[in-house]
Parts: sequence; structure tokens; C-alpha cells
Amino acid sequence: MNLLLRTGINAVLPIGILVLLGSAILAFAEPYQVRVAYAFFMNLVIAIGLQVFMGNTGVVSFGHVSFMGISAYAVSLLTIPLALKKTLIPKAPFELATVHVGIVPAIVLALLFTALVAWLSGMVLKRVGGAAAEILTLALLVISFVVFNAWIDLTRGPRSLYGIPVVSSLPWAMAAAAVAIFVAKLFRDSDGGLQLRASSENLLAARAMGVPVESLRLRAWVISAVLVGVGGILHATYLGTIGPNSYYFTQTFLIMAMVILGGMRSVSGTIVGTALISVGSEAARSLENGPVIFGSKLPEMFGLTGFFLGTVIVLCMTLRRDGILGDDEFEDIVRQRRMRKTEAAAAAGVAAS
Amino acid sequence: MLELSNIVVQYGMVKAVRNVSLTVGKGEIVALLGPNGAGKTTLVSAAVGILPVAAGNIRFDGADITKRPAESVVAMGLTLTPEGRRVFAELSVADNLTLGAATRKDRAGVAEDIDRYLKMFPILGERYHQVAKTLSGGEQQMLAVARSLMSRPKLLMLDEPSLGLAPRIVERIFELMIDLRKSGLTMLVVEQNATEALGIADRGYIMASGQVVYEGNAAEMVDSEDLMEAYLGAGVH
Repeated sequence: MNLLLRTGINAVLPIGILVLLGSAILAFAEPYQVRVAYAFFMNLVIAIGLQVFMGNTGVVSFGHVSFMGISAYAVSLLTIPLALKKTLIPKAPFELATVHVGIVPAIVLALLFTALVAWLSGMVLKRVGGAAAEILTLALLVISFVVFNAWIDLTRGPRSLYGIPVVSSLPWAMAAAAVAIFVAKLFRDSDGGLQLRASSENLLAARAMGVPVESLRLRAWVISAVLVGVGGILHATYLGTIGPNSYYFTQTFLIMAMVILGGMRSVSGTIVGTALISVGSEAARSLENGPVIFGSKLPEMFGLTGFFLGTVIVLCMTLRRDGILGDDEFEDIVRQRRMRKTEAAAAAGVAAS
Repeated sequence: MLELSNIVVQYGMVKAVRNVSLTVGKGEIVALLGPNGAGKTTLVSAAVGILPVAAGNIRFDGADITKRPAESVVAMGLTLTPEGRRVFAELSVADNLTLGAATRKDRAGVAEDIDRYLKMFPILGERYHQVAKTLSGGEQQMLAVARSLMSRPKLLMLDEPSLGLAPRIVERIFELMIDLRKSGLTMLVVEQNATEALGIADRGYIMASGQVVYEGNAAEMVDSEDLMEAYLGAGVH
């Protein structure tokens, strides 16, 4: 069967459920709940982006949130009104203080720039696998944070940038998530995706088959960076203000928990993980403030969200290292159930005769 | 068809292969024998481009492939079935076979070849959608060979195809190699199972400590008990 068609069919179920959920929230929910839903869809785009790299190469990446920051800053620097720029970053390099483009070209440019940075860093990363690659991704996160935080002329450092046009809303985030799921599933099922997954399982055998491991790693790295970059744009254009701390360890661990909990080798697993972690952290956040439940006031527990994420990762690594879904996509689970049913029916038929 | 001249392969300071020359002619089966650690696996891995050679020259089908990466060597028709049945355990039999054709672009031809090898190895057809780790050792070796054939090799290098398999299965693997030769495939077989390998081979090489210590006609090698004792150890008969 044609790859596009098959991926389309397989992506209908998760995308359909998410669209229904999003539409219900749009129609009935309070503004606060819409904000929570927006964060869910934005994080889903980023988690799916991370899955494209981690799930297919088997290399854990701590660095992807950098790409979220890079595209968020890029889109901001291109779209903040000129008058505001003069006061915020008057000494911006590359004449950026005098540059202003429309939101659509700004998004395209920001994603292209993210892809360029990913390609350059990927040229180094593709040569190594395993722990060395993971340490490189960590270094990337630290480097990008230092740039966001210390290049005051360009980013205003820790004082944060504001005045970014707030053009995004829940339907945009939903659309981005749908596209991300489709792209991730398409890559996973493509020849290159299969070859890359094989190389992560057994590098030597894959090389002996003539799998071009390096170029496939680079491809996965760039695609996943661009998807994460889309998440960064969703972030900047919804809040209207960004700072370096949004693109550092806290966000990294949140996204990693989502990918790992559901099963990093499966796109469906990432969706499940993102949903569970989003619900869980939201619950933890409401408990942080010491709410009143059944008439008794609970104590305030600040930091509970971080504690929750840590606990989830520990439990997941101890009890179910491959995540909830392991290697399986939703369609695999459906197919296995169907096969078991036919087998059971056949066995029953044999027993009856 | 394949000419290795004065090959040196190093792991850091250690020379695992020292100045080895070896040729395989079209249509031949050549056996590469020797004890553990002799450098046989290193040599064939270097030949296919998985390991870099420190010195020496590799020619295949008239072209210099010394510096070519594995993907281009495999595409030219030189394929290695790695040691120890390195099938992709977590992937299905179907995916494993598809991966064998990683260097090919002709989808229709790939589908035809899959059909052909499922007929040749019916057990793989029965287990087509199962993950490879559920196959027995012998079945995994069949899968590994079928997967290598999916690249349409002109010369297939088999690294220890009989390793860890029951005698009956070993026999089947060697019969399979004879069949493959009839279909025009050239083979270089790395083996510790010297007698069996020389039984189907035209010529043989013996490696020890990274060097070729003997080369000759396979039939004569089997008959020379001194040789077998000296280089391949007691217990060979």
C-alpha cells in the first residue's frame, strides 16, 4: 500500500480523538481550561518532535528544547514592532532593530533558521551514537541557554522579550499537533525510518546491510528540530513574551517525561504520555496551592509538579522501561487484538469439531 | 572478483589484521578459516566498509572500493552476513527482509525477491509478521541469509554461518550454500567448522594472529592432517 495513504489511515484515529477533544474544549470550556488545553497541544507538538529523533535513533536527547527557544526567539525578533524594538533591544546586532516582517514570513524564516542550526549541529552529532551523542545534546541545551541568557543586545537576556504579536490560539495548536503526528508517523513508517530504527537496535548489522546511518540520523535530527521549533513558535505567539528560562531544564524534563512514559519508540505512546503527564501536572499544580477538598484545607506544597515528574520517570524506568505502549502504535494494538480474536475463533472451531 | 591486497586493520594501537592479501574469483566458494581472534571477522568487516583499513587496497568488480562506505559497497553487490545471526530481533521478519534491500530503489523487484525467498524458506513465510526474536536459532540464520540475499549480491560474505547451530541445521546451511553457488553466487565463507567449510569450498585460507598462514586448494587442505592439526587445532577430523 502507498505509504502516504497508509500513514493517513493510521493517523486518523489519534488525530480524530484529539480534534474532538479540542473542539469540545473550544465549545464548552472556561478560558483557564482553554489555556491548559493549549499548553497540552503545544507540548504534544514538541514531544512528537522529540520522539522523531529519540524514537528512531534510540538516542536520548536533552537538547531539543534549544530548538524551541531558537525558533521562538527568531520569530520574536522578526515580528516585535519597530517602535518597541528601539526601546527593548536598541543595540541589536545584524541591524535586527530595524527589521520587521509579517507573521507568516517570520514563521517560515524562523523555521528555516532552526533547520539550519539543527543541520550544523547534526553534522557533529551524526558521527557518534549512544552516550557520546546524549552528552552532545546536553551541551547543546546549555550552549543555547547561555546564548539566550547572556547575549543581552540580542535577546535582552533574563529580562525577557515582549510585544510579540499574539496571533495563535487553540485551533492553531491543534492543527500543528495533527501535522506533527502525521509527519512523525510518516517518518517512522518510511524506508529511512525503518532503517534508522534497525540501526538503533543493531548498528553493525544495519551497516552491513548498507544502511546510510549517518545521513539518516541527520535527517531525523533536522525533522525533529523543525517540529520542536513549531512548538517554540506556538509558545511565543500565544504568550507574547518569552524569556530564556522557558527553554531550559524544566521544559526539557517535562517533555522527556512525556516521551518516555508513553514509550519513546512509538508515536502513539508519545500521545498517551503527553496526555497523562499533562493531566498529572495540572492536578499536581492545583494541589500545590493547598486547595480545599471535602471541607478540609490541604497544606501548600510548592514544587509538587517537579516532584511528580521525577517520580513518574523513576517509576517508569523501574517498572516499565519501554514505556506504556513500548514499540506499538495504536494500529498495531488493534491488529494484534484482531489476530488474537481470529486465532481464538479458529481454536474454538477446532475444539467444536 | 574481490581482491584484498596487503590489508592492515587497526583497533587503536593493536593491529588486528596484518598485511593480508586474499582473492575470490567469480563463481568460487572460498573458505576463510582460523581460530578465534585470528582477525577473520575484522577482515570481512573491513572489506565491506564497516571498518576503516589502515593500509592496503580493496578492489571489487574491477573498482577500487578501499575508501567507500558500506552503503556504496553493498549497492555494488558485495554483502556481508554478520556473525552471530545479527537479525533485528525487535522487528518483524517482513521488516528484516525489507531492510536487506536498503540500498535498492526498485520496489517491484524487492517485492518479487521477498516472494522468492519466502518460497525458498517457507518457515519465514509462516512467521512473516512475527518479530525476529521469536524465531529459533536456525530460523534466524535462514533469515539473516535471506536478508543478505535481498541486496542482490554478486559476492556474499558469510561470517560464521554455522555458529551455535545444531548439526542438522548446519548441514542445511551448507546445502543452501551449494544451491546458491549453482544460482551463480560467489561466496566467501568464514568458518571455524573447517572440515564442513572445505567440503563445499574450492579454495581455502587459514588465518592466525592477524595474518594469512596458509592458502591452498580446499580438497588438498582437508586431506592434509598435519595442516589441520597445526593451524586449526586438535579435534578436527
